[in-house]
Amino acid sequence: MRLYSVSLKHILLYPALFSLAFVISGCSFSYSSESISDSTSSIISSPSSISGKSKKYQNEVADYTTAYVKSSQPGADYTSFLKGLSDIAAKEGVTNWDQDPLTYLGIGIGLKKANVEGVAYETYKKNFAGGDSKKMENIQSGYESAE
Amino acid sequence: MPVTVRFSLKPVFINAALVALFVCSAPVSSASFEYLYIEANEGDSSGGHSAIQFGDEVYHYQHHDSGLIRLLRQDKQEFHFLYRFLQNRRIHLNHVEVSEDTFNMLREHFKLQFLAQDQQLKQLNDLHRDRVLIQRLLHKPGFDDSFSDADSSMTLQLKGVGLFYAGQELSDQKTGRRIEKSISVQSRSLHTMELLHKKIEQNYGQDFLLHRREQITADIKALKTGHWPEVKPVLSEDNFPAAINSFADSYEDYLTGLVAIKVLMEEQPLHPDAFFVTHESVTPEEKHVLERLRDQLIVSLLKSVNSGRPDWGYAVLVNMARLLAVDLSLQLGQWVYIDDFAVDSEWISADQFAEYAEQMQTQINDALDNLTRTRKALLNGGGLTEANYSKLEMSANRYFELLKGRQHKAIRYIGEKALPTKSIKVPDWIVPKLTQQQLAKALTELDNYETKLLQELAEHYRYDLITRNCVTELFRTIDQALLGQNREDADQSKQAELVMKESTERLGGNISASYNFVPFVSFQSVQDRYNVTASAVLNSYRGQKLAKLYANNKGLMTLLRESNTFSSTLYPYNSDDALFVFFTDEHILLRPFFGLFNTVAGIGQSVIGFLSWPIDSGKNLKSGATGILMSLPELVFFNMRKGSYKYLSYNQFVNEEKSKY
Repeated sequence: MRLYSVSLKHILLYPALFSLAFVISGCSFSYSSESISDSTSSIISSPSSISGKSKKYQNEVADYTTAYVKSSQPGADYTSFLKGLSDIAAKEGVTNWDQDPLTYLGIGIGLKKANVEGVAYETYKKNFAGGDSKKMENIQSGYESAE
Repeated sequence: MPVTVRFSLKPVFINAALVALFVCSAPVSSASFEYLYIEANEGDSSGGHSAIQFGDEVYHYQHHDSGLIRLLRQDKQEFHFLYRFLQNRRIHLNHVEVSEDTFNMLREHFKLQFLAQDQQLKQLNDLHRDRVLIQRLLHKPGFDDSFSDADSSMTLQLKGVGLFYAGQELSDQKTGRRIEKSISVQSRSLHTMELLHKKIEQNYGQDFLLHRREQITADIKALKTGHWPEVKPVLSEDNFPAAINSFADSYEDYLTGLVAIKVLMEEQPLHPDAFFVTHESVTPEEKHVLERLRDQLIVSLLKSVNSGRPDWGYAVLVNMARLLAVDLSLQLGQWVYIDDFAVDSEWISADQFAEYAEQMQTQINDALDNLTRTRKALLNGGGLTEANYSKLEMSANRYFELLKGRQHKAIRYIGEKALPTKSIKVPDWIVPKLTQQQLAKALTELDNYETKLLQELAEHYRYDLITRNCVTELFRTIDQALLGQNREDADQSKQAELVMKESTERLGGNISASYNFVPFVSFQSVQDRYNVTASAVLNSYRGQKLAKLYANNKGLMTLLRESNTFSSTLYPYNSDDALFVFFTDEHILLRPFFGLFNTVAGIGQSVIGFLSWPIDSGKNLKSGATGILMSLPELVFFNMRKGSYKYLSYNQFVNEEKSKY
């Protein structure tokens, strides 16, 4: 009887302990800086997702702008901001983001979402548009559309 | 009072209408989110996984190889394809009803945290790149042999330059040999380059490129190392770090600009590996579209070449490459595309391709279908956008790359980019004029800042199996979102009260991250405490196929045949899975018995692996050991072994999800 109990302990308890260790060791593991979506981007490059891409891009720019301005000052150096825009645009297959009105509309929406107003808003608008009047108009349109 | 539909945790497959609510691409109610529990399987997240879904976006935490835990954002369909299809796991789902205000608050907070962490980790990466550049400048090759150039070559790269030059060409200035190799096709692009050169001169003056080159050269020489603050970087989970310009980034951008000017001035043709000519004819309608695209690209190029953005050089290189590809398509009457695979793409061998011939044929069919549809989309009014052309380029790259497998060649399976990247290592051209003392001082400053940043990142994001994992962080993020502005105002003790109050009001109850670190336990807690109006189980790939099969025939022979990996018609052995005999996800009572067989199979593989160690470098042994460990939980009724799939069709996934509902 005792022998049986010991065997049972070996058969059930140790595996149970192992099991517990495994069951609680959740979480996906990533081996590189790339996300899962990077690793499957080729497989899922379905054209079905073409529609809605523009809106998605504009929203991404808006979110990024909101996050950026919340942590910076209007007079800050904008090089890193512009590089961030390049990264967002690259994921959508866009190189010429600086010539795309959607970019500036998105920036305007982002500024509004970050509650930037008055002089600070005007400074951001001018700097993000590089002083270009057409781009500033688009930022303004985006800003107003988010109201 | 709303009617609450509750299901237990055991797999109950919900009706079509309910699944449609969760999975179909149609937008879901803006006042609900889904809490997901992904079942365990062999491989990563072997203990299961958790995620939160807001509309079309899924947020989940992943344990990164740096030892940190990262928040990821994925498209809903991508996430479900990856976990339910490729990894063959069932997903349990709790539908939580909230007010629109709460939904927006939670979604915005997750989004902000994702962006902030992304930026924080990018800064860490920038610091590494800056360090490598400073070290490279400090130890110029030939001056100090102790410095290894390998890290520098891997880390410092000029993006897009490989479209026109091979690795050593820029340093050696030897391009004649390869121009001769492909002169028949590439001589056709000379006219386009001449035209472009002339247009730039007409727009900006004859010496524009020369002046721009001189200016960039002067800028590089005057380039200063970054300024890393002496103070500790103040990070929080939802704050962008202060922007610091990367020294390496600026240097690479300047050099890429110089290469772009060199290409324009020397009218350099595309590198032969940078494009491919297909046998697909350009139709008359497509010809008109391509002519318009060519004009658009010229206009974009003229703007890019004088742009103030830091990475204008890369934009010029990509636009030029595409212009040449479009122009060649028009001249030859056959589609020509730029190769958009990254240098570090994942390859599959010719033998692997042959082994999975059926799946590969499905992939080819999918790729052709995508290519056909993207070609059509380009013809639609308003369809000619840069993003759509990129999509076409990607579809074509995938299709023609897969076709190579039929000729018994290795192919690149993963690694396409929406924009061509073709990088080469930074050449030994012009370097910033910095003294050894300046560089050494900069390196010390960088070291100090990096140490502090690393400490702070570890403080916020160090992975811990129990206290900071993919589950605990979801609840912690929810708590932070609920606290909102009060986070800084209230003290610790009051914060807990506030969270409890807000959580009860907005979600129906509060869940402590400390006691809910196991995925399936957390799912049950959400079901018990939040305003869950419905729960569901979304079937895995094999589960779906099995259900279809059993609908037609649930005889004993079918059950027996599909119960194991040797005779199953629904699971071709995937070499990524450790050897196992029985699937244990269906028959709960038989699970320990099946688990015993699987354990023995793992032991067997380990013994063989021990003997074959000298031949396979321990691969079999490792797989066998994994098999044993993964089978042990089955002895006490935990299901692990489900099998996974390597090459499933994404189109099939999308179509099946649509057609069902």
